Amino acid sequence: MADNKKNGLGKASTTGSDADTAALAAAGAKSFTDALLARKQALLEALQSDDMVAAADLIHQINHARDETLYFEVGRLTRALHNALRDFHLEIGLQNNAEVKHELSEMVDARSRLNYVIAMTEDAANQTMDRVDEAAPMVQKLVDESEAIHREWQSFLAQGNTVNDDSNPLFQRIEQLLQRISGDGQGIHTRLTDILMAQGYQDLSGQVIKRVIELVSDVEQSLVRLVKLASNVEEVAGIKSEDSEHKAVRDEKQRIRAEGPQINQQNNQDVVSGQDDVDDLLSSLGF
Amino acid sequence: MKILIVDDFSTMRRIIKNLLRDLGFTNTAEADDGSSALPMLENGQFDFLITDWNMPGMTGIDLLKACRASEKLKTLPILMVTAEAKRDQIIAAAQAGVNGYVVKPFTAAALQEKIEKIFERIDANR
Repeated sequence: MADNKKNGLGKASTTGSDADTAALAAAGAKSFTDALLARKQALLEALQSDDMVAAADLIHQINHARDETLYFEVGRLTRALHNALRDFHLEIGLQNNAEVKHELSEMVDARSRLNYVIAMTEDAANQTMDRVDEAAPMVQKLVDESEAIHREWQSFLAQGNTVNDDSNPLFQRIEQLLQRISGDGQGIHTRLTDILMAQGYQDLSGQVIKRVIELVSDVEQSLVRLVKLASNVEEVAGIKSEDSEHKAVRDEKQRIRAEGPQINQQNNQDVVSGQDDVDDLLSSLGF
Repeated sequence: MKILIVDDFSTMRRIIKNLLRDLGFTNTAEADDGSSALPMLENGQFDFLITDWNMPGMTGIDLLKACRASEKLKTLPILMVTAEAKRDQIIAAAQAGVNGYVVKPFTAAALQEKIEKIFERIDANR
């Protein structure tokens, strides 16, 4: 970890350097608030005595401190990202060298591992459903056969045939068995359907994993952007927050963007709590 | 009754297909996103569409809107079966003209109930 910090942006940086990283740390040590407080008195005096040149200079200094703070923050975030990626590789046993050299290419590897999980669960779900598909007709055949025999048995008795001794426990047991095969057959079919439905986990977990794959891609792109930003003071100083009009349009699109299963349903007011809620909402809309 | 099942996960398509078979609907076809489903719907004689929302390529909500904008498909009964569970999303689907909405994970009974309800309503309007 300490070794990694010393390396700063490491090999992932295409435009930055270790010297830049050191400068970031030094600049960041002097926070924006400190700079503002230190010049408060001087600025007040300059303004009260109408010394606009001095006041402008002080404001410029404060602005400069703000830029430096921002610059420091970018550097800090870049290092944090770098460390997070490195630790991720360590945790899943990807480190072949003492130093992780190819973060970005290994991010691709992380994605392929997650895709592997999706493929494995899909395979498992399919195998389960194969067995369900095989078992269902077996049970059905058993039930059909048993019901046919039961009907024949009933009509055999209805035709006046008797089996001499109705109280013979063997006949009673055969009668009960035939009835039971019908009833239990239905029960087994219901459970097979439940097993089938439970395989829906593969879809739901797969959607969540796909979101994580997207996140990894986003982090990867953010890292590239941050590395570029950290290498250029002017770019950083010129950063402006997204204008609100543009943001509103984007928010509208974001609002109904497909998200996959809700992980934290109970803590989110925007999310329905189940099918009953969906039905209520739809019926409130006139459905 | 010919039914198209659209979901990017083959597992879910298979589950829905099996459930439909249990309900007596054996004539089904599958597609893995809206852009492959739309030409099938335009060129085939489908009576019912069951679609997921979250799919790469063309999403279910876009497929729904495309169907409603199509002369041929504007009255096609459409059931959305999806993990998307935000109120805004359900309202958006309703406004786009969906006929039913089932959230995943769902039960066999829930799916059956929604399908039956959709056809009851269609029969009542005939």
